[in-house]
Amino acid sequence: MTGVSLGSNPWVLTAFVLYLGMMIAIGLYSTRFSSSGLGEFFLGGRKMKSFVVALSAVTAGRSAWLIIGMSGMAYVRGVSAIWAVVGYILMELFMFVYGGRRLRIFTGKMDNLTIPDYLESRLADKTRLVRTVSLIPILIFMVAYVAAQFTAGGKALSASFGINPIYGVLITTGVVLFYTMMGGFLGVCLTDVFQAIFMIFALVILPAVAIVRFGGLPLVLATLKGLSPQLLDPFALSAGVFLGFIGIGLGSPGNPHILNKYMSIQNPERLRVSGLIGTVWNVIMAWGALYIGLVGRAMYSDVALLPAKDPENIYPLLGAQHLHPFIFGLTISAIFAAIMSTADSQLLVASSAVIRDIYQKILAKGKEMTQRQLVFWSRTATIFIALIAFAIGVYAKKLVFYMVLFAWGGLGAAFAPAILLSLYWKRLTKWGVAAGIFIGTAVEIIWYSIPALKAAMSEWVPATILSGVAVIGVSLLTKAPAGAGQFLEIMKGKE
Amino acid sequence: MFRTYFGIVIIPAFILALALIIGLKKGGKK
Repeated sequence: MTGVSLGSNPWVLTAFVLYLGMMIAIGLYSTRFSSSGLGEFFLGGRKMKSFVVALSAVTAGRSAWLIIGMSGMAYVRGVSAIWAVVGYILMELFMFVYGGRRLRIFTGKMDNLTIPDYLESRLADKTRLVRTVSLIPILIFMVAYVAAQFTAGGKALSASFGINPIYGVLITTGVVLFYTMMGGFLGVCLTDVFQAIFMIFALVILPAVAIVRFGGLPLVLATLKGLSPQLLDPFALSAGVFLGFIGIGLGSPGNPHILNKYMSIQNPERLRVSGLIGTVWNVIMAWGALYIGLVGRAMYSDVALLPAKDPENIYPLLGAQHLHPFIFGLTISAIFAAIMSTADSQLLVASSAVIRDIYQKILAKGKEMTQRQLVFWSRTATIFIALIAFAIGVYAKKLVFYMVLFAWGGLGAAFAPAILLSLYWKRLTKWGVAAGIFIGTAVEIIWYSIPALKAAMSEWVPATILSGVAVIGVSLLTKAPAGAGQFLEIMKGKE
Repeated sequence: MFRTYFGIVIIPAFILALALIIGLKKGGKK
């Protein structure tokens, strides 16, 4: 975002500081509730309302990629960029209304707080196989994810306010760590609600103002047609690219920081309403980003006109040029809202993996500990993980970049088939799930590393399909857990 | 031009309508 810095403008700074202050205040407000126990700290005591769950689940899944990446892609590709959002929006609607409801009912009944908790209960696994195997990708990908969000926050702060990127990473880490550690799940969800409002505001106001200033949508489209008719054709893409775009949706049911939002709702029947609210938010934000790219291309036809010749700078460039500095400050805050609302959820999942899944369920099994002690250790783990993420974000940027390439798709390939089948198929076994996690992660990395394969199709599609084949194949070859049929009945809401 | 409006108006409108139908359905499968 070089070249669009408005850091010296007091309006921009005021808007941004107000935003950060609000996040910290919410963290403090949520502290007391989150201190009462592990269930409260990691899952909000399963007392979240439908509106909160809707916005928190949606913003947890949408990082800065939506605002910066999607608008940049629409700038380059034109209307055909829409397929990158259709898959995940439909998949998340399904998960809210159907899969998420089953997950919530079962995990509530079994007192599961995490996805490894859930898989262990659902597969009646007393050997800790599933818990252990699932922890590996969750920990690796989540920490890498958090590190990448911190780094992105630092980069955006540096570009917006002209400060040293390291200080930018420090500020992002400090704010996210503070409200996540103090406020726990409630703090994460309430800040997500505000962040969702910032994001939708920016993604509506910016394209609307830019289109009006350009002379209206017909003129935008006519200008794009003059540049290249392909920009207006939603089908101007190859079958491989189309499948890769739609396949982005395969990541949604495999990312634990999204799944645990469904698990936190007070009344599972209200997930239907969350689905409606979440989809409205998803659609408006996604098409807002698309319109930003389209009007941006009409205004700046050549990428050489953009700061650093980077299409991903179209969002801050349009904001800087067409909005009042205070509103521009809010739109810059929306980038941080996207980054922080993803980082906080991921940080909490990583922390729950350490305290709930490793410490409480494996290392200290049978040991008496008060809920307050467990919350204390959870907060300590959150600090520790944030510091690791900060360190690798600053000192091992290449490693983080490499790992994050696989994070969304890798988690999707590792977990999505297992999670979806666990909700509907009683023949699923712990060996099948373990095989799916292994195959999904391995294919994701191998496919990406072979240029010819990567060029033919994005790695997450074959990785998820082969993971699904492994889950089904190995499950059929091994013995199904006793009582699986009864588990599925519980999920339907029948006693 | 129909293809363009299909991408920028009809698809999002269709998804919203789908969410509305599913989201406002009473009761649902238990």
